[in-house]
Amino acid sequence: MDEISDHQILTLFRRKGEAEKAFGMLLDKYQERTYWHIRKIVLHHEDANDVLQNTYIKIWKGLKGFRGDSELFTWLYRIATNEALSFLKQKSNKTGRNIEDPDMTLSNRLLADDYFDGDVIQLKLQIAVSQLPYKQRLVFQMKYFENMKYEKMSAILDTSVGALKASYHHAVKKIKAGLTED
Amino acid sequence: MIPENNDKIFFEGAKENPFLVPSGYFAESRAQIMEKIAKEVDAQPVKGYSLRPRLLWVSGIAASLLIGLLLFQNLIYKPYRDTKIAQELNWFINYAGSDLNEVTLASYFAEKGISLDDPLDETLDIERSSLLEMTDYDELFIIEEWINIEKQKK
Repeated sequence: MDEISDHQILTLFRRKGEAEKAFGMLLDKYQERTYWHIRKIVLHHEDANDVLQNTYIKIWKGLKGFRGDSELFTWLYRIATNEALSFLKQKSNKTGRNIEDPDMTLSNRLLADDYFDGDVIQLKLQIAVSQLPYKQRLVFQMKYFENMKYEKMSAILDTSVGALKASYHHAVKKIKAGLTED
Repeated sequence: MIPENNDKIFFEGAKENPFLVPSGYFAESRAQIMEKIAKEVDAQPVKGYSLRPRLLWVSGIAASLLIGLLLFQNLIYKPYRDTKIAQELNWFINYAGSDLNEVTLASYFAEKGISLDDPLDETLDIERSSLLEMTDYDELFIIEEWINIEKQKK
């Protein structure tokens, strides 16, 4: 069965009485992908679940006014990204820790997390990634883990392709350094 | 195991997803979200009236609201916003740390909706003394240079 197109979803959404049905289709198409994108930012399942729910409520409220200036996917991803980052900032405000400061407890928290199943190398990689400035972290995750093209990333993060490439290059260097440290 | 060739950090296994979700999570999450959406729909007021008569009196008071808004924007909000931009910019300088460069600046400006047409030069002039107390001259110079370069490109 062919996947439903964004255009079909939006057309159905604007039809009277069909908005919820269309939204269900949108969830089926994008929920999992947005979840994993959020999860890699916030790291923990419970946090990712909260952010995901808030994200889709915002998407529901904003979909009526979606003008199609960007692709639907780009718009969704931008909301998800902003929600995840807002969550991290709120969390850091509560703990008094700057979100750019390295989280020295991350290793222990991930190891204790029932929903983290990585080996030592994957743990080291996650810690190295978490120590990047958050915009670099986003670029690295979207490029390396999600294999996203720079043009798409540029639309989501509202940053030039050149700047993203530079950011990714710096992120890779820092992660290499982090992985080869003892 | 770290590969011997340090240029190749992307080895098999690192890209695999180490994160798990509870069994049945996505189906449950979908149901929860749709339930919340249904509540949102139920909470919306039912519109059973004609919009036209309301448009007439709404447009009548819109003009006075617009005047009030312009007055507020220029006399109260803009001075507050200019100071707020300076405060946020200062927060960002400390926040970005060693990553203060045109990449992070571009992202920050886009995120905050700050346009290069905003009177940032005036803002920086007004707040310069207080900004310089909290950061160093080099960082402020980077921002000003970047703004000048970007404006010349326009």
